[in-house]
Amino acid sequence: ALDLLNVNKLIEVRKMKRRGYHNSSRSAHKKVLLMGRSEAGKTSMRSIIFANYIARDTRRLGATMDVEQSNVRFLNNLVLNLWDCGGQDAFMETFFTSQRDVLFSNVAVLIFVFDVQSSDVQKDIDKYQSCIETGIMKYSPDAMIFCLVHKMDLIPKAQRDMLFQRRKEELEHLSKPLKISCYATSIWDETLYNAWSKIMSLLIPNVGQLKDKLQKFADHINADEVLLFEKATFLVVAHHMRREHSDPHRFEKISNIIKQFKLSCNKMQKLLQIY
Amino acid sequence: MLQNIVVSVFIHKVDGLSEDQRADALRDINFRVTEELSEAEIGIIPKIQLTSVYDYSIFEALSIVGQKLIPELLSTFEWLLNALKNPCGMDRVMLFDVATKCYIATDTETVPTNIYEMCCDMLDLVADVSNIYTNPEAVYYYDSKSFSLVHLDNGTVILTKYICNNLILVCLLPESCLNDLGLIEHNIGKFSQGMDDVLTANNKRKAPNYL
Repeated sequence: ALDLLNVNKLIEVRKMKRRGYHNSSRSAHKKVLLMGRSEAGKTSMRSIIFANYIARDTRRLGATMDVEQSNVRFLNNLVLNLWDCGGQDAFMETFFTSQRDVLFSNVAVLIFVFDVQSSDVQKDIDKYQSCIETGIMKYSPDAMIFCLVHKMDLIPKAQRDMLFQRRKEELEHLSKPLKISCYATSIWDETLYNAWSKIMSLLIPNVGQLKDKLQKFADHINADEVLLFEKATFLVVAHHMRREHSDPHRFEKISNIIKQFKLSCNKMQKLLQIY
Repeated sequence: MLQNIVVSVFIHKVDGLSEDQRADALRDINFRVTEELSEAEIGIIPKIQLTSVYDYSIFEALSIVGQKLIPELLSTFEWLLNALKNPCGMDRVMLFDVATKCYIATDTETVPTNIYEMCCDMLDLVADVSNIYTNPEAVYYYDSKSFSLVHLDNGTVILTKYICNNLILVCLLPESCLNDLGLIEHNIGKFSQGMDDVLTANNKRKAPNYL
């Protein structure tokens, strides 16, 4: 198996309990739960965003066993404690029973991934509902919840909007009284970067200050637009627009373009330096 | 009249062969082709290249073919490129066709494959980002002001500048050169002017024998 970006440990829940594992309520540490049924695409997404995989390489990933934890440093003052939870039924059972308190405590963000072509949509929804009702509402009611309707590339273009809207309405209804955000994603285009940029930007502690500084900078140099990307993941952290632009998806397109360029430079063993 | 025709041989679809097999194929075909041509007393010596669509070799091969079609222009271009490269302290300078990503002229005879690939990736990057920010009514994504710089963290900088007639200049230079960015921009301006003059003069010539 290929190594992921930072610390990547396979940890059994009993060990976590014993060590009194990781108190993520410190302001600089945010706990992100990545859940969904088996083969939804959670580990693939994580590998592309945080570990410089290209979409094609994710075919080599095997099933995630239990929970894979990794710490990702984001912008110097933020550490994401990413919990990639194996989706196989056996694991999910323990998540809602013996591991429930450890798993669902102190969660800043829950990302639940739905495979749009799932053979058993009702089961997906049931698992999601369990997460929300027995996990989040009980242990981390303030967590931000994101639902990703994934693998949208497998749906014909004409049907995508309608399918996504339908699923979104259903999930929003189910999650009441909690508020959720839904995104349609695929690892084969820029929609992946769109969803993750939005999620990450909500986690950055001083994003307001960054935006102010960007605005001043843009005004000084008379720029039409200034974008600020995080260097490793190329997710858009902040932006300031002084002139209207017709394409609302340009940020994630640029994320995608530059990330691909960076990866091909890496192949030639020259790493991209961002100015 | 036959001597004026440029003949090129592509040994194609070599992606399926190992390094040794490719070398063998090249040697073998080279030998047989030259032997048969000299037996038939045909004075043409074709350039033989290994190509595949699954990597950049086909583009490199077509670049070399393209260069053979403009022999007098080529030496002028090369002279201009070297005149730009030396005072600015650049490592490499190349002139690319925007649409095909084939190089028209370079500062030295051969271009190592990895340098060529890097330049192609750079051109893709510039094209994609430019496409996003171009005015939707514009026909092309580039104009005479198109200019980009990318810093690599090994101290190299890749610079691209649109010149004219679908030609784009790609330069690789050490980071220290950027202390004199004004000088570089001035020299590139002179280079553009030179290219313009050469191409205008060439267009005025009558050239019935050229493709």
